[in-house]
Amino acid sequence: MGATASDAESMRIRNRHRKIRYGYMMGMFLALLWGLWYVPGSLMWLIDPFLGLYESVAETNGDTTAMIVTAVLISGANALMATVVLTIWNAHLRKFREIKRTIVEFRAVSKYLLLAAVFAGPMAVFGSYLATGFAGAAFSAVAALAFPLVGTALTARFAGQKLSGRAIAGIVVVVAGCMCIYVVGLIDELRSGGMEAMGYVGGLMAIFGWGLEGLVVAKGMDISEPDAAFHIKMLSEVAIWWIVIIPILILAGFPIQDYVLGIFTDPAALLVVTCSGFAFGYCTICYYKAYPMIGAGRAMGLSAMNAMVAVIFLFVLAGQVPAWTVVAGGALCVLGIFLMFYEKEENLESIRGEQGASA
Amino acid sequence: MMEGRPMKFRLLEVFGEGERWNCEVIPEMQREYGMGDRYGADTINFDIIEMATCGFLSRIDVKVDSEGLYREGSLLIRYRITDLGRAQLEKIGKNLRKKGARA
Repeated sequence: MGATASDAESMRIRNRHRKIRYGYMMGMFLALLWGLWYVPGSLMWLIDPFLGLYESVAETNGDTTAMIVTAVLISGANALMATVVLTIWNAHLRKFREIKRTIVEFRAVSKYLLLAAVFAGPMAVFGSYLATGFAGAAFSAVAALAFPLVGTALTARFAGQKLSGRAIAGIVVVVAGCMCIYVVGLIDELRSGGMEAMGYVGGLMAIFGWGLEGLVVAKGMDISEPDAAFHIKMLSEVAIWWIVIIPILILAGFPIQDYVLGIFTDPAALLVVTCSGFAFGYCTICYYKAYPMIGAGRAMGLSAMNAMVAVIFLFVLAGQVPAWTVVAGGALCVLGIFLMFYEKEENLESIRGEQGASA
Repeated sequence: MMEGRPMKFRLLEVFGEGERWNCEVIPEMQREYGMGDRYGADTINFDIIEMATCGFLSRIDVKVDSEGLYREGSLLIRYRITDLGRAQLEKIGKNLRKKGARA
């Protein structure tokens, strides 16, 4: 005995601090892993069987079609391997029964996770490849980085998540900082006059795809366990790529079937895809764990930092020296994160501002 | 109505029936869901914390566990369902899978 009410209150504040720190840590790990994912993610384009598929489709249908078809196989392989990683993770955490309980409640919860897979997979990923192909890599990256702004607006409007002015300012500054990284490339692309309308369509698909994913995930995560939720979302994504899109492309005459086996038999390909699956799988875990703790807006804002992390990894691993815009962008990112992190913790007691009244 | 359904559905229902301490609810859920060990208890406690952060439960009292009701020295929290939580519970109730159709 002997514990007083004030002991309990100070313990509660410590617990709240720990909880918020945990949410932010998950957000940081998300950005780190996403940035790291770009290393195997971009390596896949350079190795067989993906390169072989690209060359074979390019010969008959041109470069842009080849890029899209290859992007489908890469996305499918990445989703499959990430799901394998998540399966091992959830077997260890003994979540299979919760996953089954959640999947069968389609109308109440798992429909949101299926929708998240549609928005994140075919819509956003495919859109960002279209943007890359028809407009340019820098445009595509800037478009992808704008998603936290759209996602934050959508979750505030349709999922009732509340954000302080300071948090919104932080998110905007982080996103602007990350975009700064690509500003020179974007100006070059705009000047070259090579932007095609399809590129803008792709950019919009990426922004709204990931933004809408944020919204439906926020709705699904309210009433499901993060570990179960991301597993169901990834399973849905695997189904979309391997049961719907890849068979459609094969029926349309693209020779994907000749290259699928190569992913698992070629040791180099298997290694790269496994690394990609690990990075992507754990990135998803961190994303979905940050959601209920710090809210969708902050989690998405932090995730934009992946651009910064990718630049750092490319600098360390490939010796690409960053330009001054990258340094400026990095400084803005740090400032934005400080803005977010040092807001009043009471604001984060509940991501909908419910608790305050009763506390 | 929510027995055997996803954990957070059931937790919403339980808190919807009246104010409860986490240390009362956790052992009940452990029995119901066959999660009897320490890890199971932590998982359920974390689910409750997430639901409070989501704005479905509000904290009405806290005390330090000096009698080992949940775990000695840990924080015990008494929760009440919020209007938002009640609306969510109602919404889930309308969209539940029919019991007979269960696999």
